[in-house]
Formats: sequence, structure tokens, C-alpha cells
Amino acid sequence: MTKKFLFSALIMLSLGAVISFPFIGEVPFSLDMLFKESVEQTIFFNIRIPRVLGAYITGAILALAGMLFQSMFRNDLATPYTLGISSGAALGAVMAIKFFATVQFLYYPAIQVFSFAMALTTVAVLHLLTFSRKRSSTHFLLLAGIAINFTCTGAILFIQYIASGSESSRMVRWMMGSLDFIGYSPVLKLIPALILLLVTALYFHRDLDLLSIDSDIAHSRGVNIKFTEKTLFFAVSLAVAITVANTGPIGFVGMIAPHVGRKLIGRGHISLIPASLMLGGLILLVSDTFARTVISPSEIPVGVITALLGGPFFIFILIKKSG
Amino acid sequence: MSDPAISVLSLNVEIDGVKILENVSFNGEKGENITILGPNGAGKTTLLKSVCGLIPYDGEVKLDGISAGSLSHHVRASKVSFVSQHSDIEGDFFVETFLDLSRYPYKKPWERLSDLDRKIINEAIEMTECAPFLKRKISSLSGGERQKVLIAASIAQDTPVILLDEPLNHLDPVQRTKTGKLISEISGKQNKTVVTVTHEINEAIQFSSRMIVLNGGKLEFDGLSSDPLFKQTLDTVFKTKFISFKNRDDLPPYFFPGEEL
Repeated sequence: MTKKFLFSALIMLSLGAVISFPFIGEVPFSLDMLFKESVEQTIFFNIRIPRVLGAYITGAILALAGMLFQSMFRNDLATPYTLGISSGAALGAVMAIKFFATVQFLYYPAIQVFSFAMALTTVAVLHLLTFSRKRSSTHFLLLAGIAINFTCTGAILFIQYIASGSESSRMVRWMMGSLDFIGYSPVLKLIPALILLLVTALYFHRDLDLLSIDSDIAHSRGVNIKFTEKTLFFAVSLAVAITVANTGPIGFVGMIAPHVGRKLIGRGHISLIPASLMLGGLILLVSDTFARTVISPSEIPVGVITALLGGPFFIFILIKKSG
Repeated sequence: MSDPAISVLSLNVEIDGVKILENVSFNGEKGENITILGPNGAGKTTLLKSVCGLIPYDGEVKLDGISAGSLSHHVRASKVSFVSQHSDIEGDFFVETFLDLSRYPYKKPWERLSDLDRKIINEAIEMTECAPFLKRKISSLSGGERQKVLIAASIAQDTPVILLDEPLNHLDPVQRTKTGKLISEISGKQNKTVVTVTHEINEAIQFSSRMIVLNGGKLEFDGLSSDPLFKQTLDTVFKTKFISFKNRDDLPPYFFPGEEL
């Protein structure tokens, strides 16, 4: 398959899905309903479209973030989710639900502020652990990620244990990840995160190629490794923190999308970046549409779907790596 | 007189409290082909790595008369390139893409490769005879082919100084001879300064004339391989009496290790 064909296919699929998926759902739509003022019209424009856009953008952000970490650390398992950033965000959200449920910071609810802050704190810890060493080792980074995951999970379980039933069920719901946006303001919050990642990734596309080949070769070609790694780390952290604060943890899109992208289009980042973006958007949009329709009128949290897809995929990668 | 392409002045390197290099100094002129010899652990690789800025050092490394430490990453990469002994590079890249990336120091992120870049890359491909495997992935190459690609990338980076770490390792005798000839061509035809680290004494003598011998981090010898002191230095450094013989006038002498001293 040629690159041109693959890109045209991805663009067509993306456009097709974003345009047609709002029509899928509990309330069926016909085109003429959209032009009459009605409840259906409101549902379509204020719920369905923001949700479809939000799912695509979230998937795109998670895929780009995953791709950047995977290339930087030369390991398919090194994504923000597996390194514990989402666990950190979840701990923040759980803390907010238990202790600060009624607090608002300017326009932002406590859950968003706390999950954002804790995601950044987790990244800072990860950053200190990795970059304080003379040579950043991926093995060490992955182990540090597991340790952070365990610590956060422990703290979450403790807070859940002392929480009331209703608090506890809110916590569980948040941790399953959700894209049920209402209106466009959450979507608008995600767009800067996507732009930040896309611009940074494209700016460093050759550095990423070289870094993913070998760090000595990258150095010899003139890549300022420290600067590049720090800038990318910062951009990914910020984008993921914004996203997780709005959607809750949604795992594995960030691992699957770039992996499939590499298989389809190769490792050159100038093509891999747009491919990962579109694949991530598509995977999460399809997962979410499935999640909200399969047991309609009820819906499955999208995080459940991606985890059910991603867990086995994770094992698949591990087996292929060792085999 | 113009500045030497590379000039190393009282270089000292210490890693985890152990002195790896002690007061090493030498100059390399344009077009010179220098071999660095020495037993394992003499500090040969460390010397190359500090010259290209991979390892912090005390002392001075000058490239074209400018202190290497004061250069930005991009500018340094336009003056010196380094082919290390890679064992675990990501092999999923196409040779073609890999060679394109050697123009990195000259490109802004949004710039495409120009005709001049293409010309330089094609010259490197021609010199190293890499054309047959451009469309293959690095992981599918044999040891010899991979070495050629790595050297081609270094040539395409188009730096006045090229550092090679054990370029003959894992190559069969014919490939070794070919690679050796290629190295002397890079310095001869392209007027580049090539500094090669090796422990293949005989190939070194065959393809370059200037020898630097390191032992225990100190420079023990810097001169021509025909200098009688060179053999004496080898004897003391390797603690072995080397036997040299010559059976054809058009070839340099052959050294092989005799009894231990």
C-alpha cells in the first residue's frame, strides 16, 4: 500500500466518521429534523456533535502523546498512561470528590483542577527520577511508572474506603473515563492541547527520527538531546494533563494508535505524526460510538471499552517483543 | 598557516573517579588519515567520544581552530561526525531514510532536502557502494552492509573531521580490506581528516601511515608506522615481542605477536 493511498483512506474515514457518527444513537435522526427547531435538533448540535468531535480530538491527543513518548524512550510500552500520569490524575480527582466536592476555582470545578495538578505532579516526579540520572534508561523509566501506578492506586483505594457510597460511585465513574461532553466548551479546551502537541511533534520530527534510531547517532548528527527531550516531555505532560482532567483516564489509545501507524506507514515521523493523529481519533471515536450505542439507552464508559481492547493488545506487544 | 582541522590539547577525562585519559594532545591536518591503536581499555573510544562531545572532559578540543565546547549542537555536527560501534540501533528504518537524516545539521525543521543535499548523499552512496540496499531496512543488512551504511551517513554529514570506532569489527577479511580502502579514500579524495580507532594493527598500517598509540590513557607514540620506535612502542604497550616481516616490496611489513614479554 502506498503512503498516498493510506493517507487518503485515513482522511476519508475520519471525515466520514465525524460527519456520520452523530446520526447514530438512541434517538434516530433524519436530515430534515436538523433544520427544524426541536429537541432532536438540540440533541444533535449540543450533545452528539460535541461528543463526536471531542472523542476524535481526545483520541488524537492521546495517540500523539503516546507516539512522542514511545519514540523518545525507544519503547512501545512507554506511554503517558502506562507511566502513571493518568493514575496521578485519578488520585487528584478522587481527592477532589472526597474533600473538595463543593469548591470551585474560578470557572473550573475542583475535580478538573485537582486531576490536572496531580497529573503534572506525577510527571514532575517521573521527570526527576529519569533525568536526574546521568543516562536516562527506559527500563528504569518503565519501572518507575509501575511504582507510581501502584502508589496512586493504593492512595485511591484508601480514599475510596473512607468515602461514602455516593462519593465512591462518583469516583468509580470518573476513573472509567467519559466523553459525554455537553456543549462546545470542553471541546474548545482540548483544541489547544492538540495544537500544542502537533506543532511540537512536527517541529521535532527529524529529532524524533534520530532519537528513535539511537541516541549516540542523534547526538553525532547534532540533536540537542537534553533540550529536545525536555521540551517534548513538557508538551506531552501539559497536553495529557489537560485531556485527562476533562475526560478521565482513557487508556491504551496512546499505545495502540502509534503502533498501528508504524506498521502501516513506517517510522519516519513526518508521516507517522499525522497517521497516529488520525488513527487515534478514529479508534477512540469508534470505541466511544460503540460504547454509547451497544447497550442503548444505557451506555458503557468508554474507558472500559479501550481497556478491554488495550489489555490484550498490550500482551500481544509483549509476546511479539520477546518472541 | 591555517588552523588544523582538529586539535586536542592536554585532554583529561575522568569517569567515576577513574582517570581514563591523561594529558592527551595531538593535531590532525586536513586530509590526514590517523589511526589510534592500543590494547583494550587504553581509552581509545573515550578519546573519540570526548572529541565529539559525548563525554565531558578537561582540556581543549578545537575544530578548525574553534573550541568545540563553545559550538552549538548543530554547528559541532557540521564539523565532526562519529561512527560508533552500534549494536542496538533501531533497525526498522529504511536505509534511504537513514541517509537522508544525515543532513540534519544543515536543515531547519520545515526545510526539505535540496538538490545539493541530494548530490552530497548520492556521492556518499556511490563511494560506499550502498546503492543496492537503499530500499531495504537497516535490520535486514549484514554486518558489512550495515557498516557501509553507517560510514555513508557519516560521509553525507559532510564534516571536515570523521571519527570511526572499530569500523573493521565483525567484518570478513575481504570486507575489512574494502572498508580500509574506503577510509583512506575519504581522507585522500575528499580531503577530510579521518581518525580511526582499531586494534587491527596490520590493516591500520596498510591503510594509514600516521599512528597514535594509547596505553592506560596516555599517549605513548605519535608518528609514522615506518618509525622503528613504533614497533618498540607496540612491544612495550602490548607486553609482547612483535615479529615483523616483509615479503613484498610494494606492501608494508606484517606484524604478528610473538612471545610475551
